[in-house]
Amino acid sequence: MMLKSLRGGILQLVALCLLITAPLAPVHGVIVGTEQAMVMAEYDASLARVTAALSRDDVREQLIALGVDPQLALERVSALTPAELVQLDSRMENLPAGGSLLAVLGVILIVLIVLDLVGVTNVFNRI
Amino acid sequence: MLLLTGCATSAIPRPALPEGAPDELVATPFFAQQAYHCGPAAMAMVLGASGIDVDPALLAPLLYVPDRRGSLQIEMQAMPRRHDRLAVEVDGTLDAIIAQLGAGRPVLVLQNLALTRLPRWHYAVVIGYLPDQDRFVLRSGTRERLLVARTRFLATWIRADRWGLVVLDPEETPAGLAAPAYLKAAAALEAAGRHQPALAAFTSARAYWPDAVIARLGVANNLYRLGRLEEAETAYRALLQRQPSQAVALHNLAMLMVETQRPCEALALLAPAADSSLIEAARHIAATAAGGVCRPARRLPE
Repeated sequence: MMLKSLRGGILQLVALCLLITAPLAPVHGVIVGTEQAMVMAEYDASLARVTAALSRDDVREQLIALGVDPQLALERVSALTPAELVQLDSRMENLPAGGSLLAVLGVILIVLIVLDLVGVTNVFNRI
Repeated sequence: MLLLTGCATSAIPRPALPEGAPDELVATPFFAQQAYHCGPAAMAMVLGASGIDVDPALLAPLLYVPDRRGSLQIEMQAMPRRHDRLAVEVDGTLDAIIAQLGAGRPVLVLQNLALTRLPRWHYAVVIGYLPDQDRFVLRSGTRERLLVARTRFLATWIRADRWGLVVLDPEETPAGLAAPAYLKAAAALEAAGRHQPALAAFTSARAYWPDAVIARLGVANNLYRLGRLEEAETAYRALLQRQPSQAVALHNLAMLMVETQRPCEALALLAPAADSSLIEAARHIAATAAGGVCRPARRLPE
């Protein structure tokens, strides 16, 4: 929790620095990418870059913690765009993972069988 | 409440197949899933349908999250990029799914086969709809041809927030898709540094949605990234003719001018633009490059 707020503070600081220094450090021929242009309405593109850089490490650590091989985790996060990284970073725990196990016993099992029979669920259809 | 839901569901009219569309995309390849590996299997099937032959066993290390025993939607969506394909989300309606089937594209869907509070997430591929039986045809799990009643399928799909995607070749016409979803996928290709397919995708988008400014911006940006600067300039100018105040296009065209040793032209381009941090930054870069030697943009006649 504290780490999160600390990170938020650092983010704001870094973003501020970027905004202040941006006009002083001309970079020739750097164009604004189309994805950045699409998210610009929501938040500043330079902030998005910083957030994404931090998210990349975060998401990688989260993947490793969930059993992904560290080398593969690196390759996997490098395939994601800044927008995707930020999305994944904030919600990985709660996002659905297709293929997940369903462990049910007793009454719930009977309820599910009935719901399956009446066409609400599709658990026992030998997917 | 349940009763109401039941009524509402049965009141939805049956979707209609487009004229001349096949009931079922029988050419879609089938891969039976290994335990919990429905993600890689479903992904291999839609990639296969778009002309990319890939073994699900090779996709699994890049898609499977061991402790979650499944695959995440975002990583699923990112996978086709590795093969220079677009992964485009479909609108959350059965009509949108059927429109895609009509366009010859199987739809990868996320389902929640159980209940909202007791989810069982599952990826499957919708390959057809049989109007006379009112059932969908799915490649699902270990079943090459699973028939599911429309209402049951809809219930499992609604519980997964109606999420589904199609995989496209960038050269393909994006028929039946929503422009924002397609452009998002094209921009992701660009962000991944795949500028050739991104250019093709934005070009397809520009032809299909002539009014989409982002499509034109994407064409210009990827031409620039590919080093085709003259064509990029033409594309930026064409965009600005339609929308003279488009700040990103102004900024990027100005940067192109600076790069091609025309900082004064860049300053003249930016002069009438409304102030914004982006425009200011471009002005600063152009002014620095010019070093104060520009003549006034417009001379009064003597």
